[in-house]
Amino acid sequence: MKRVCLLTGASGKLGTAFCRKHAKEYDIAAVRNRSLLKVPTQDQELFDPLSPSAQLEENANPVFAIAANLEEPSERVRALELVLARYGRVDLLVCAAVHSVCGPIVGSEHLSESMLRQFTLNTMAPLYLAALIVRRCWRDCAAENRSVNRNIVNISSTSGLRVYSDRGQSVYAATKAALNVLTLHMAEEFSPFGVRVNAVAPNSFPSIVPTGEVVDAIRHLDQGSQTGEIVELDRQPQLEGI
Amino acid sequence: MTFGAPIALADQIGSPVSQTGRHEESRVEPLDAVLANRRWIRARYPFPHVRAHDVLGPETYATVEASFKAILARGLAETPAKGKFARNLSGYDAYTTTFPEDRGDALWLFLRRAWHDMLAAIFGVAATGDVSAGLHHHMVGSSSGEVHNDLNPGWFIGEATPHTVNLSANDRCNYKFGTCRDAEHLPRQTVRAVALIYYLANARWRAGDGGETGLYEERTSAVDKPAVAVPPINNSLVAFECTPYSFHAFISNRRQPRNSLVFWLHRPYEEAAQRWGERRIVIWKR
Repeated sequence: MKRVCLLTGASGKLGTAFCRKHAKEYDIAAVRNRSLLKVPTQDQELFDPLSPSAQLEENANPVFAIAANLEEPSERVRALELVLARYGRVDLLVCAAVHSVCGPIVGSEHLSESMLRQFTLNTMAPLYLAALIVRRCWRDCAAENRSVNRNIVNISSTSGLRVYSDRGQSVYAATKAALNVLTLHMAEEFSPFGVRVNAVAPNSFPSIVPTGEVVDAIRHLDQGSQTGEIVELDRQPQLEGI
Repeated sequence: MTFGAPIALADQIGSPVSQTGRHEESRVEPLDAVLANRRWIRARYPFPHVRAHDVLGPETYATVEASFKAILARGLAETPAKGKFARNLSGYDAYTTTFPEDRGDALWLFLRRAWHDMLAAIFGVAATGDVSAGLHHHMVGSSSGEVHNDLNPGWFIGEATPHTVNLSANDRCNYKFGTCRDAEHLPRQTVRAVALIYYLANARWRAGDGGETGLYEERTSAVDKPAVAVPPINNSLVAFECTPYSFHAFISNRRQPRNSLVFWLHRPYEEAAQRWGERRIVIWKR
C-alpha cells in the first residue's frame, strides 16, 4: 500500500519535481491555488504533440489534484476532506506552498501590501494545516502513527537562518524563521501523538541547490526517524550575516 | 477526446508564393527539431483544452520573439493601420496586426502546414487548411474581454493544398461576413475549429499581474473568476477545440503589457452545423 502524501504548493518547482519523481511511490494529494499543475492528474494527462494518441508512461501514476486557497480556513478543511474521501488517511504532510515578495522595508509598497499574505501562507497555513490533520486524523492513534511513520516536512529556507544583504528578503526571511521555530515546537508537541516534524531549509533552487536534492531531502526525512531537525541545503559558504 | 495519427515529421518542399492568401513552404526544419517540449498537457476542466510550456527551443523562440518585438517597435496606431499594431478590432481592447508579409519571417513557423496538421491531429479535427492568425498587444490596464466560445464563422477565398495552408485574406474577403472586393473569388464559409494562443515577448509574469487567458464553465461566468487561468508565460500556449462550451476571455493585465499570437484552424460549415446545430454557431455582430 502506497503512503499518502498531502503536498501543498504542488504547482511550484519543488512540488512539480516531487510529483514527477515520487508519484509512483506515493499517492499524492497535490494542492495548488491558482497556478496549474504540470503533471498528470485525475483530469489531465501528458501527451506528445507529434504522436498524440501514443500512451505515455508518465501518465501511469496521476496525482490527485485539489484546488484550494490554503489561506482560507474553510478551504483547508475542504482540502483535507477531499484527501480523506479519496484515500482515507494522510501519512506525510509536505508544506511547500509559498508566497515570496522582496523589496526594501522603506519605500516598497508592494512589500507592505504582501506582508500579511506572506505570513499567512508561509507560516500560519502550515501550522493550521498540521493542527487540522493532527486533530482529525492523528491525535488518537499514536501507536499506528509510529508504526506507519507519519510525519510532517515543512519547506523552509536558508533565508530563515541568515541575512542575505541587499536582497529585500526581510519579510520572507521572517516567515521562514518563524516556520523553523514552529517546526521545532510542533516536533515537541506532536511527539506524544507519534508524529515527527522536520523542515528542509534549502538555498535558492535550482540556481544554487539542485531541486532534486530538495526532493531527496524530503524523501529522506519521510523515511527516517528524526524529529525536530532543520535540514539545511546549501552550496555557498556562510559568509553573510547573522 | 479522440486523437489522430502521428504527424509526418518532414516538411514538404513548396513552390513560390501564390496569389491568394495561400502560404507555401520552402525547405525548413521539421517540427520535431523546433519543438523543445514533447510533453504537452491535455486537460478536461472546465472544457477540453491543451496547455504547453517551453514550446519552442531557445534559439527558435529567440527569433520568433525578435520578429514580434521588431513589429512592436514600429509603434502603436490608434486607427486601423497595416504593418504595425493598431486598433484594428472594434470592441476589443487590444492592438493587433497581421503576420509579416515576408514568408521567411520567423513568425511564419506558425503558418506552416505541419503546424496546422499537428493541431488538427491533436484535437481530432478534420480541418480545412484555412487559417486565420494575428498578433496581439494589450497595453497595461487593458480591459478584460467578454467571455465567449470562438464558435464563429470564418470566410475564405482560395483553397489550401496538402502542403500549404490558406491564410485569411481580409483585404480581399472579409473574414467575418464574406464580402469580397471583386467578383473573381467565390467566398467559402467555414467555422472556427481550433483556437490557439501562444505567449511571447512578455515580461516575467508574477501572480497578480493579470493578463491571463481565463477558461470558464459558463458563458455567464464573471470574467475575473475563471475556472482556470492560463498565465502569459513566454513560449507557452493554450489551445482548444472551438465548441459551444469553449468559454474563454482575456483577463485584464494590471502590471505588464501582454503579447500573444492567436491562431485558428477551421472546419467545414456544414460539419459544424450538423454537430452542434446551426443556431449554436455565433454569427459576428455588425
